[in-house]
Amino acid sequence: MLERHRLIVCVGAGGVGKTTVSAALALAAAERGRRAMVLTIDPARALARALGLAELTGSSQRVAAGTRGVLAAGMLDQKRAWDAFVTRQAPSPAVARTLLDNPFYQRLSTSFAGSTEYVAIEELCRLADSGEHDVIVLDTPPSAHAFDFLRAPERIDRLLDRDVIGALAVGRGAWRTASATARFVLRRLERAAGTRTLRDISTFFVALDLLAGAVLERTRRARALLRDPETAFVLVAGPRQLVVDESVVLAQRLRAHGASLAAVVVNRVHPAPDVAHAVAAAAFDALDGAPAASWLRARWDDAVAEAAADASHLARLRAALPGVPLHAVPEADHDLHSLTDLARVAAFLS
Amino acid sequence: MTRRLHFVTGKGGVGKSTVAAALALAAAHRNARVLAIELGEPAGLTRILAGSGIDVATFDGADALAEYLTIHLGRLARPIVDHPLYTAFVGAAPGLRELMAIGKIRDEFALHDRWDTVVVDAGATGHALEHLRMPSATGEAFRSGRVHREAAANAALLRDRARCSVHVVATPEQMALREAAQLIGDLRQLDLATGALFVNRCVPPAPAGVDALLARIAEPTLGELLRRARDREARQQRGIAAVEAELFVSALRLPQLREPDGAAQAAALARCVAEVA
Repeated sequence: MLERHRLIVCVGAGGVGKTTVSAALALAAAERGRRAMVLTIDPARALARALGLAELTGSSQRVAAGTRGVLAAGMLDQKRAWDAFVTRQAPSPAVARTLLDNPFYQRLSTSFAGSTEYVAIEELCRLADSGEHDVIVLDTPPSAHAFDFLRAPERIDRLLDRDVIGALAVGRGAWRTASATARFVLRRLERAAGTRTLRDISTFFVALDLLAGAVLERTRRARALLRDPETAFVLVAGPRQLVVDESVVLAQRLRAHGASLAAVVVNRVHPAPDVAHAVAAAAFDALDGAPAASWLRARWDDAVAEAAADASHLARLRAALPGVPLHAVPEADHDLHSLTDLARVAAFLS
Repeated sequence: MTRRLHFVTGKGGVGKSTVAAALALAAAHRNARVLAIELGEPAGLTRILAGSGIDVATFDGADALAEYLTIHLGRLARPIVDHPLYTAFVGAAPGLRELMAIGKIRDEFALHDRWDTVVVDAGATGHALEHLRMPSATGEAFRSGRVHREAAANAALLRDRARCSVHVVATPEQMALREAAQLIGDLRQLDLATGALFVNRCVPPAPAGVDALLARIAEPTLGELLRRARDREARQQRGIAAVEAELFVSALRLPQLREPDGAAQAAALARCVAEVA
């Protein structure tokens, strides 16, 4: 996967360390001599610091990683990517301005649920087409939204349905030409949302209609990219009951979607302590002075219990996903601080 | 019995659903009528509370909106909801689905006298903020009409400290604590009814004399393991103290549990969160 694929999409539940694993995969590919880029969906400040960058930005920045290949990093700056897209694709500066000033556009480009996914696809296509990178590793939003991501192309297509745009774009004066049902629906929506809102939505759709061709072109390209044999999906999970449940569901959905699951990475696994129980028991028996002694003994019991629980979670994942290579990354002592920490994770992914 | 609406949020993977379930269980223990709510689709909370006897509901914004229209328009609603224009409108209107999910929670909590305690697993930070921010944001985007009135009513409830609490869950790691501090700052800025800061999976504080005993452990691997646990505990105390000082809050420390099972964990945590529930 690290040597051959051109796009690696990391998906998984929230809080499992997807961003770190994505960056480690890119680093591992760069160590193999490839020009690799990791693309995150948020500012990932800890990652930026670990890479020696002041911050991750909307453009790709090269990291001084000392690898044979090249490591670059960037993030999806939603607002910037949307604005750039609109400016690039609009037939005239006036149309671009109309869209950029529209309150619906402004909300869509910053906080509207799902807009991250749309713009991620757009950015992904742009980067994949640029030819600057041999492989792009994409960090995605947590799994509740990972499917919004995969479905984004279809959803944009649906939003851009000609009839719908036509009806919403014509504005009130031309409703007469709409069907009786459509008129009825529009009147109800107007009463619920207020006249001004409907006018804003209408303006938005008029302008969007002019961009529809370009957007549809992109969504076709994105759909092809996500199903390309050179695209691999990596499921990032953690050793927790709810995370394993969620990961199994996610893997099933990925398969149903025709995506190929290349590997599962279980991050932050507690390894079994490398000390015989009898040795530990003897050491604790020799200590006096409760409660300090019992506090220490409890930490040993914690370590044993955590390792046993993690092993059972790993076994459940293995059983649920037969045939998918599983990599366990042991828990580190601290959060991500440096390239060395990232290299430690990368070492477990080969 | 005082009635209260709890929202639980925090970074992904910190144990929000478990803490939400513990709050629900604690309220049920003092005989409150409890409803637990998940947003989106059934997930962690539904699984943890299965078999507990507590009612769990899943609210989806798109469904809530369709239901809302059906209540207000009767059988006229069907052609609207089925029409592609409606789909486009719901897709394009900012935060309408999020708003409707909060609206449905408000209906359950405030309109009927069916529940004393309603606990909402509001999802991970970004997504939860989207929901919580929506009432005021939507109120601005929709300047008149029913949606505007709906948004105003939701915003009022989320700000009402006598009836509502938005709790934040973190773990003692640096990144999770940072995100929690940021979230509490955002909640305060939105003037929402900020509740407790739960720090989940805390190692109990090391008693005096631990360091002296550590020096006496001869087995090197065991010594290393215990020293790392001691360092982690010290880092954790410092991290929590820093957030407490920064935000003028007192964090509620929840213990690290050995039960691997979510339901058992929630049952064990119920005692610790009883004062908040």
